[in-house]
Amino acid sequence: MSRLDPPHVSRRSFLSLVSLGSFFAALGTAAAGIFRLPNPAVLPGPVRRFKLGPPEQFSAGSETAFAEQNLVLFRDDEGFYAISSTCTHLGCTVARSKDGFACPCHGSRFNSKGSVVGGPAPRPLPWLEVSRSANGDLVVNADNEVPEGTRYRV
Amino acid sequence: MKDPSRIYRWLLLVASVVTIVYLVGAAVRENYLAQWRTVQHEYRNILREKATDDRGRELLAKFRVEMKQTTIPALGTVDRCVTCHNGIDDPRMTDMPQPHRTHPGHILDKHPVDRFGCTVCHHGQGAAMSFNEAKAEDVFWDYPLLPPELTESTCVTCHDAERLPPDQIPLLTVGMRLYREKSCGSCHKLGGRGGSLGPALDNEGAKTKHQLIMTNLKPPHTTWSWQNAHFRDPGGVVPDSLMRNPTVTRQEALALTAYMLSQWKRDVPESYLAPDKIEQKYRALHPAPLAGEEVYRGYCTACHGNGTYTRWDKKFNRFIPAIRGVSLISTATREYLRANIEQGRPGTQMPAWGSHAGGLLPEEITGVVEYLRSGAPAVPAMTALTLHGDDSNGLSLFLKNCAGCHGMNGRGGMAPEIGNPVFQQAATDEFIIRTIRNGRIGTAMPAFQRNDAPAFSDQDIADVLAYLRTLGEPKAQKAMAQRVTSRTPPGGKP
Repeated sequence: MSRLDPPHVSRRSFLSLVSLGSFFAALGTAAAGIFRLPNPAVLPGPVRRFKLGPPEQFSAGSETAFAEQNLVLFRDDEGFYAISSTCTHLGCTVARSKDGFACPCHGSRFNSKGSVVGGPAPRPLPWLEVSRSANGDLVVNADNEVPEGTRYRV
Repeated sequence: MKDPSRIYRWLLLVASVVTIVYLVGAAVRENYLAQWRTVQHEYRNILREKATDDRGRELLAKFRVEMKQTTIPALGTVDRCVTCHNGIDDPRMTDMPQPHRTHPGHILDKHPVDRFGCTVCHHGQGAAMSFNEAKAEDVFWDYPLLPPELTESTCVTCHDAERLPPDQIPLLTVGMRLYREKSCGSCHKLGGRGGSLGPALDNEGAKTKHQLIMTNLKPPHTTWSWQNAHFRDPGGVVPDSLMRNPTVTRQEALALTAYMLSQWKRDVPESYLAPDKIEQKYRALHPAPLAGEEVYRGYCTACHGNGTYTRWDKKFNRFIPAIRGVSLISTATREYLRANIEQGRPGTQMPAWGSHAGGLLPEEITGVVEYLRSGAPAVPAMTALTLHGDDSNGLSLFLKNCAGCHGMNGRGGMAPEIGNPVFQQAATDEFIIRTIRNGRIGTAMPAFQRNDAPAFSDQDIADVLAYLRTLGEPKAQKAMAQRVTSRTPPGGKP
């Protein structure tokens, strides 16, 4: 018997190996299914895709605050963008100030692009994804942040 | 000799392989073969075909095959209908087959899916992931998917049906009209107004199939199939029903069904209510009085017809009087009519209609009394009867001449109960004397003192009157009250 020959496996021990192997494979598959359970297929929270109406409704250079949705929609020459009006510090609703946004709770201040200029806020106000729905209405998806400066062109 | 553990190894192998096959099969079924995935792949192909411009390409690029849902905490709904109905707000999909088609009409313009969801109007199980479960007709779900033609009944949750354009709610418009025309209010209360022979209908639409008797119906057992069949043949659906067959066409039955489904005191946040609904709620607290004739048509005709004839009712087992008949109207005073309407006739099927019971306003009852009397001829003044009656002679006259119809002790039979407390309090002596003298035309009540052949002398009438009044005395009234309370319920065998 040379060393290159495969080691001899008897029929009996082959059966043991295969049955044990398939047992652990079944266990593994079941575990994979079980660990998938805590991940819900759909999150039970409210919808955060807001339809804001047809784009013609907003003139160039305008800004429109949507209080219920907690965001401000801007339109400039380059296109639409939306900035969340929820303070990144503790979640108060920021107010529009002379040169940007100001949070009434702890005095965080942001410039008109949402960057922090003062106060305890750790992050700039997020820019939200703007798109259009199939019927042409502007849609802001408050769950999707986009990099500052992203515009949506109609 | 065989190894004894061999059989266990085989068993373990077979069991493990079966488990793996089952688990992998379940994973494939859930992740690749689910109905909604197939639908979304189909929809993506449609999007691809229609992606001829920038907008189309943008929509195609954004489309993901994934579970989609609309959660609306204010309404307490989680609707996944949009998982399959992907084209619901895409105007390009009007010619596509379901479930890809655009929502019909312009309803979504004012009722966007992300604010209203789907089940608030259509009912059904919103969280379901297959059409059969979403329809939820045969599973334990209180409000299954409404058929398209009945969906209009849920508009009333937030709108006043009277103010919606009739072409938007064709069935409800007919249903509301029929409810008045068929005088359903004679027996049923709606908004606190109506009779008490049938159940109040204020929350009829909130009923689930478990609250209705379905034994006489073919499946599917839905509340609307029950309503529909019931309007066609009440007694065939509910065997002991007192309800008269409303004699409606198939379409009218459907309209009444839609109207019944719309009767639902549903709690939705104020922000969802249309202004007209809020006005309607306010008006319901301060109703404007209806004219007498309208009240009569809405609340009296189911039993009294047009009021000019007497009718024997099989289910009530008694005569229903002609309340606009000339001989009653020329005899009865306004106060008598008013008392009978306001307080009803205890022991008969005539319920009380005063604001504490039937919900009619005092001025409406005045209006009805005037309407009843509108054809009344001028009544010649009656020669006063000054004779003193002897009630024992009255009793013997009553037994000979009256008890056959009016019953012993005035308990009533075919004819009205003379001992009835409302009658005793409201009927004046003059009313009773006139009735005995002239009879009641159109009924079995004969005239006892016609000029050519007087059966009663004035003295006889005075005696009978004296006897009748003893029936109004407390002792007789107590016996009457006991009899009324121990009486079999309406519709039971007398």
